[in-house]
Amino acid sequence: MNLASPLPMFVDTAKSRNTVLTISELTRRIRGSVEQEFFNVWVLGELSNVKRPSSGHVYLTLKDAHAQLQAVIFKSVAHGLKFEIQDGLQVLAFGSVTVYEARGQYQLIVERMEPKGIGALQLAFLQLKERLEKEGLFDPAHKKPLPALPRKIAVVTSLTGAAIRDIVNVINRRFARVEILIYPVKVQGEGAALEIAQAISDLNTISNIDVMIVGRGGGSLEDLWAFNEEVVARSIFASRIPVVSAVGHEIDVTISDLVADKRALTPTEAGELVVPRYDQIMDACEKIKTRLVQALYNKILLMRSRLLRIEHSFSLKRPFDKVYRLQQDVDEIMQRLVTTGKHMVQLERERLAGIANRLDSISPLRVLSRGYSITTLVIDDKLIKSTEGLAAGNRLKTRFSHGSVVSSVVEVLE
Amino acid sequence: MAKIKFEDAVKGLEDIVERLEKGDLPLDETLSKYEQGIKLYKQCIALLEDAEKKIQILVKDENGVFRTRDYELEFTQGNNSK
Repeated sequence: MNLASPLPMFVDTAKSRNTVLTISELTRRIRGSVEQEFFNVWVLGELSNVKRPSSGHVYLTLKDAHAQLQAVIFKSVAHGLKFEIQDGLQVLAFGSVTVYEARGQYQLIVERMEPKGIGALQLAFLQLKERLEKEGLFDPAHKKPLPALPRKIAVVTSLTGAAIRDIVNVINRRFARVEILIYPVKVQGEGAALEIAQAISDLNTISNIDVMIVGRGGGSLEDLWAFNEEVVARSIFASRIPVVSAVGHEIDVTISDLVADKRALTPTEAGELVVPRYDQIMDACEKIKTRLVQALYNKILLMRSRLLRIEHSFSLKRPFDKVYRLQQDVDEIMQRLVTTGKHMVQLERERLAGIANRLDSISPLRVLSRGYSITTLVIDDKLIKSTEGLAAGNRLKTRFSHGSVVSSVVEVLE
Repeated sequence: MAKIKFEDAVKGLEDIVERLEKGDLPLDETLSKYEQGIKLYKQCIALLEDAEKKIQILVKDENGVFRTRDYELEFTQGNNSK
């Protein structure tokens, strides 16, 4: 099929009336005319039906209120897009319309795409920020404290930029005795993000690094872009060494700033954050040592005054006083015990006497003393109140006030 | 001297001082804590003094081996331009 010679758009009508075209032929002609007519056009529309099969190409529909257009972004172009292609985004797309003959469908082959109303980089920043935030990469819980006295500080930056000079200046100003290890990287342009990410993970394999500064001097959004790349964010997040980010000059926040354990507004500030102030630390150490000595001194004073008190106390002068006083206490208690005991016995006695009197008053012995007697059967000692059941020959026992007799029944009188 | 982190030494020293300032420990315990404190203090000072200034550049060769070379301080004198 010869595609090199696109057909004119309006085919001779006489020709088309007299010839029967194959579908392929017709489609080829349509394709030719469409490609010629709609070569390198900009379109404005909303993204929908975004699909990403494993081929790496992106298929989507561009639409407005009244129409829609199929579009494809081939892998190589898709790879270079800074922002994420999402349904609902308003975009400007540049490319050429062609016909996909196998399906008889026309589509736009996209070569460039920009979000509408916002720069691609800004949108990319916002999209990545939202995604990483959801994942928890900016969570304060993940932020590591900076060491109070770092001895080895790594700096990931360009050797030729302002950042390293600023940091070295801080060290010189403070007469700091620290080791600085510079890991030179590209801080802008193609491949910078990968270099920075690699540097951060490389430094994590080196021992004794207490803290690292990652950054560069100020610049445009494009200049700072490497610090907004996901690969850098991930390596900062994965770093076991605390990371201080120092990008630019206070204006923009980068993704790196958000992920880092500490954000410095400038490289100079980063230096001031991590380089120890020996004089201040020394002062603090001296202060706490003074408190230590004072605490011991206070304890000794306290002990001494307690000793003095004991020395002058009444009991130390007359050591037996306490014993005597205790003995006195014991005597007192004993005395009370005895008194109580006596009283109790007296009470018991009176109680017993009362009971005895009451017993006495109901005792049958009292009746006997008035001349009555009690008669019982000898055989079972049963009390006899009448003649019932008695017969001659029964042996009876009769109790008097004093003594008793046994007698036999001679006759029962009814 | 055992390798101790500066933060840990300071923290240990602060804890001891706070405990002693309560003043309710027996004298012998107070003394032994005091001695511990002084030891930590000396470690802090030693850590403060035991460091040197060194600025180096890390270079990774093609085999992935790291080497270092000294950083030249040629433009650190009051140069604050970008």
